[in-house]
Amino acid sequence: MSNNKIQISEDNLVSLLKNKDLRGFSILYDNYSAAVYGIVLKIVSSEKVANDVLKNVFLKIWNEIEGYDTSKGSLLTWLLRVGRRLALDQLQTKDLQDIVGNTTGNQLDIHSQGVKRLIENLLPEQQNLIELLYFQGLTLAEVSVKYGISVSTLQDRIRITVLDLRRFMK
Amino acid sequence: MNLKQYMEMGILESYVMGITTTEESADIERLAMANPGIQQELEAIRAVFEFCALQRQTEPPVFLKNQIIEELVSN
Repeated sequence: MSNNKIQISEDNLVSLLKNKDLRGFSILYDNYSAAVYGIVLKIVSSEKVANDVLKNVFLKIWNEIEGYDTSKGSLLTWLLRVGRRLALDQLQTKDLQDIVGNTTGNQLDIHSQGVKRLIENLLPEQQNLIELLYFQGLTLAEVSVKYGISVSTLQDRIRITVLDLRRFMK
Repeated sequence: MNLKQYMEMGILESYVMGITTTEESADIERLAMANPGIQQELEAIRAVFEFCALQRQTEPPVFLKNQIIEELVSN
């Protein structure tokens, strides 16, 4: 994380946003734009499109903050979910099959050492699952066809992958 | 199916990734409201994906922030 991130409690940040306080928006953007941009750029693979998507994500959050429900997850989770959805909307015309073909054998691009070690604990196939489903936005059906397994087997494998990550994170 | 079996299906992970159907998502949200165990499980799964996303951080172009704020203010 870069140094310009401001430490503020999530509750205080949400209050600022609900009061339409631009300082809140600025903090939200400084703290989370890079995380959202990372995933959006990964999905749309074009900076120009990613810029538009990022703008729409933050406008949407600003406009819908009144209805934000903390029980459905943190602000970051919400931002990431909206980011993925809006990025995937941009992708609809793109041939997903190309993406599947191109990622065979790829693994998560992890830069930080600690995380690299953590992710290296996963099997390559587990890394690919996270890559395809979470970072590239393929559907369960598409990935199950790619691996030649049923959706329920795929969901089992995702669960095991997430459990492994949870264990390594401790 | 009991709650433990439900949690072991892998559907909560799919929900957090945003790849469940609208109906599945509604079911999960209803169950989570009624069962702290599911809520807890969802939070643990969310932490994993937030963590994965934070590793992928990419700074957006600097001009974008002001552009977005201008748009907020003009709306």
